Amino acid sequence: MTPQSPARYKAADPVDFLIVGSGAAGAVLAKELSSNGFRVVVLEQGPYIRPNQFDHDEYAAVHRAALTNNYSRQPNTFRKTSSDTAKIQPLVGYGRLVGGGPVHFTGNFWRFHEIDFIERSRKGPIAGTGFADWPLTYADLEPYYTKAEWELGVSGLAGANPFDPPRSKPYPLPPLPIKSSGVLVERGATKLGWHAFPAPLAILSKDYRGRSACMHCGFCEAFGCEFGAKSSTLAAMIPLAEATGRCEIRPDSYVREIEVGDDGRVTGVIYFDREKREQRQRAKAVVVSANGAETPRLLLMSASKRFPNGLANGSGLVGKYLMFGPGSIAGGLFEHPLNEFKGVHVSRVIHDFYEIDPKHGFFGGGGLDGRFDWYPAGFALGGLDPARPQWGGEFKRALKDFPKTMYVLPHQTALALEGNAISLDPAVKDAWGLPALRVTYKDHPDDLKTAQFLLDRAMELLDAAGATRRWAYPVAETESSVHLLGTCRMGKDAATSVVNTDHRAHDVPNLFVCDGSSLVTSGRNQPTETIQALAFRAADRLTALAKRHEI
Amino acid sequence: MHDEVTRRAFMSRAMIGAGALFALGTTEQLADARAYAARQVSNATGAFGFFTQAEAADMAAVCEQIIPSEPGSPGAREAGAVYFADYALDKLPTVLQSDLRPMVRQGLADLTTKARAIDATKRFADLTADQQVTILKGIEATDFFRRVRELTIWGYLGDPTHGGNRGQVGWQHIGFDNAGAYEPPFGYYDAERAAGRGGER
Repeated sequence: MTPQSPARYKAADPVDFLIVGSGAAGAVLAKELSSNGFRVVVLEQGPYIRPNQFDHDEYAAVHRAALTNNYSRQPNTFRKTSSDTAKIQPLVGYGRLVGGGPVHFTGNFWRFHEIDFIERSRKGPIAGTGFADWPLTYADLEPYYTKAEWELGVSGLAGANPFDPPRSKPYPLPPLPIKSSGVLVERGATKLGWHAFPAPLAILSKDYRGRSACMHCGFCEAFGCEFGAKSSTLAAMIPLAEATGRCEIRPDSYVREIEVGDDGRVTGVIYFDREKREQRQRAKAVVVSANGAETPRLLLMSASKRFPNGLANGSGLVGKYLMFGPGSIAGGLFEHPLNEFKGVHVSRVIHDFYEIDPKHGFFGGGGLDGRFDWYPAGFALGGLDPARPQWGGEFKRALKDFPKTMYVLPHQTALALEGNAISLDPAVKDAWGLPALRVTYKDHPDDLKTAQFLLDRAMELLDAAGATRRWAYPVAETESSVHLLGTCRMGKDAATSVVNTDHRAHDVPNLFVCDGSSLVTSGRNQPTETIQALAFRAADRLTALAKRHEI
Repeated sequence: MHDEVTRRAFMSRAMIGAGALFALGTTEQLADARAYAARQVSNATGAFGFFTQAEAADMAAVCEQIIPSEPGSPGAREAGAVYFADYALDKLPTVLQSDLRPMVRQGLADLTTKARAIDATKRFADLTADQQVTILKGIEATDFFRRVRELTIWGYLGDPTHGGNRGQVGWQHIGFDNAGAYEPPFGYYDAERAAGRGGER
């Protein structure tokens, strides 16, 4: 294919597909649909930053939110239950630039396992929860996991994880080099009878499809990759979408409403441009891939006479069943330098506790990875053993632990609860005058028990690996996340879900929703590969429907 | 981010909640804080944008107690942390819709009040290191101290382009070099494995 200039569409020109959001799902859909011959506009609220503009400035990236949503302009509010008044605080984090979350993510690329899709049937109901099976199985999604790995460029070792689900093809690239943290995870796992395996990462271990291999600079999480070695949608999908000549990526375009015609079909969207002027874009179909927090917010902001409770919300479930997952983490200090600031953050993972034995008396499961993703100032601010002095000469000496420190991070299940939700704050507005994103969240007790269980395993692992000092942050109730899942869940029944297995809104024939909001369960809270596999699958479904004139 | 903002937010929550864990600052004698502050201000590479000259001297003294200088081991002073703080407060003063400037200015004024209670002729920067540490221990749990500690750390370990971490002294202290590219093996344990040593122990 000869690369074309990116398309430019007029506002009144009804494009085939208008996609809201250019992230993990939106960019995959844009690339696939434009490659399949459709005319596509992608509206992205963030800027278009080219890889050669990325740098290693921790203050800009982490503290000043250069690549992520800025809470000063887009405040969030939080309450534990619907009877509380929400207060302003930072809660949901997402990539706010062309390419979205995968630009700044760590690159962890876990498939869900077979159990993740059928766990409700296997484990039984859990009272008071929305725990449910998916309308898809692992087998339905397997070809798209494989497609995601090969289209994006994923490094890993098939067969190395004894708990892995079946796969139709190996990874396209071998694992990244093992780090000292990986050697120590292996050492600990061997002693404990667990099974460490090379981390599957959406980062290139070798040159691949015109992109260059990882240079081990160490700035993955929270940073964009200036080499294009991270297999973000910005590096791997957006250029292909633009090269079709049929896809326009329109940055700095913040959608405030999806418009509906008298026939109940969507006609396009209203958005703010860079100068905060209102613009419209017409479309034959709209795909919302704005992430699991912004997608339900947009649907709720799109309430109309015809849909007074928000668009696609006949079930009343838009925004509900939000799954964050508790955070817990353990750190360890070792005798010799690990120099974990070099190279990708994670090189070994453990899945022995993917399903925790029910004899412990609670539902849950997860994985552990050995990592170090602190940058110098962040380490001093919050990465040091909290028992160490926090200022003065002893603090300064403790900072020399930087090269000798690693962490073990659990990733785990979060149960879907109807009370946990994204909604519109009735009082607080963002800098565009739109209702602030309100989060209501209270963990299911089993999620906290799972967190404690995995944290105990993380501490055991560090001990077995020979840490001279270990520390764990106490398990705390979840208030915030960067993994935004479940808020427009997929299902066959229009009364208990928001979209069908084609990602089509049950109530609106030419409206589709595909991103983290589609997930029925959280998996073990490493969702990106599943979101992207769903997007590859959705693109096939939308293509088939459009070709049959069924949209 | 995070990943992650989650974990970073989690960590920062942990840190905020860890007031009781704020360990006691060192009491070792430092070089004469006053002499340095005066020298730094008189040798300023440019006018301060936010601080007055007197405030800058007091702020520099606070930074130096948070990350002290020792023989052969540069601290916040050599890193120019006060210049970073001045830059951050002058150019990027808002964090989460909250303007830090009034709080920092008030906090510095409070330090002056505390210094004058010891000696009516002195400001914070004029006190001995022991006196400074005693005052700072008394305000460890305040928002002012928390923010000033953050500014000091960013000024010591942040990217040098923001005016702090001069000569990368902070990075050198912790063993970080931002080389931009590395080759494996990266550390002791992976090198040991690559060399065929370091089996089970």
